[in-house]
Amino acid sequence: MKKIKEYNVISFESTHMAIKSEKLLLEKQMEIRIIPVPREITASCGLALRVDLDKFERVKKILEKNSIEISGCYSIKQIGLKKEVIDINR
Amino acid sequence: MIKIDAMGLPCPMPVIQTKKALKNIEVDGSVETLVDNEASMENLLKMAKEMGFNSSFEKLEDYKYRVMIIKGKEIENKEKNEESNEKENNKNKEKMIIAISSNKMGEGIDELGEVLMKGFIYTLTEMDIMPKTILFYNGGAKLTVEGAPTLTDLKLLEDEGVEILTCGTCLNYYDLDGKLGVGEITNMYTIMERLQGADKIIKP
Repeated sequence: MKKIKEYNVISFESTHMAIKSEKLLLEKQMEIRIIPVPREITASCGLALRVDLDKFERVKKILEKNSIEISGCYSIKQIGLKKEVIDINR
Repeated sequence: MIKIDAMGLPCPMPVIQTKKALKNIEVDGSVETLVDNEASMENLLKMAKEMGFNSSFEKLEDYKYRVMIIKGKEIENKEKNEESNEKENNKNKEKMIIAISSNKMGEGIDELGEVLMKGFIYTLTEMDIMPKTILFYNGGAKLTVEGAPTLTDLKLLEDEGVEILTCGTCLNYYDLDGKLGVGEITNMYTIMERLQGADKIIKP
């Protein structure tokens, strides 16, 4: 049976912003991961954050508070190696 | 029985000496090796397993372990059979080995290199084609220990059947003894064997 995984992905305008946000969130004990932007998403920078569904809103708030600009938010449903991407930016 | 005192000898000397002794004795003979660290002990047990010999170990005291290996019968045939079976199974499958020699990918700024290496291992978990083995040595050894950000992905890969091997000398050098979080400890001999047996080597 194929494993199903669901999570959110946040993309950034620049690599520096992605790395900065990873640092910031890890300092705040938020369990997030910095990952290469999935192929299914076309974004300007190659790094993104992978966030668990239940932490997504909190992560977004922290980024907002620290004025880190994001370029996109996505919800991803992964079945085996296949990904279904939904753009949830507004 | 041959007794080898390999206390204080650096890796992989205990394995070399024991292997030599096993070669020279008759079937059903045994070799007893004393070593002063767990990594050497594990390497000896692993070597015995790979050669198809029975082995056992005993912790005599802190920093003193005894490993007993009994030379079995017809190993040569067994080895040959295993080899041909493996060849059948892997007829269309390349043996891909990934050798990771640093906790950073590429050269430049360390911060970026670390992010790239995390991304490399994460992406590996999403690939159709899996490597047979991933070797971790020198700074790469920092990626397989408890608390490493790459641990979750490496455990996933191990569950998929990828062999994860970390250089014991390197763990020791970086003071990471006993902190291995995934896969097994290995030595230069196994690293060499895996590299020589590869159809394709990837070095990020």
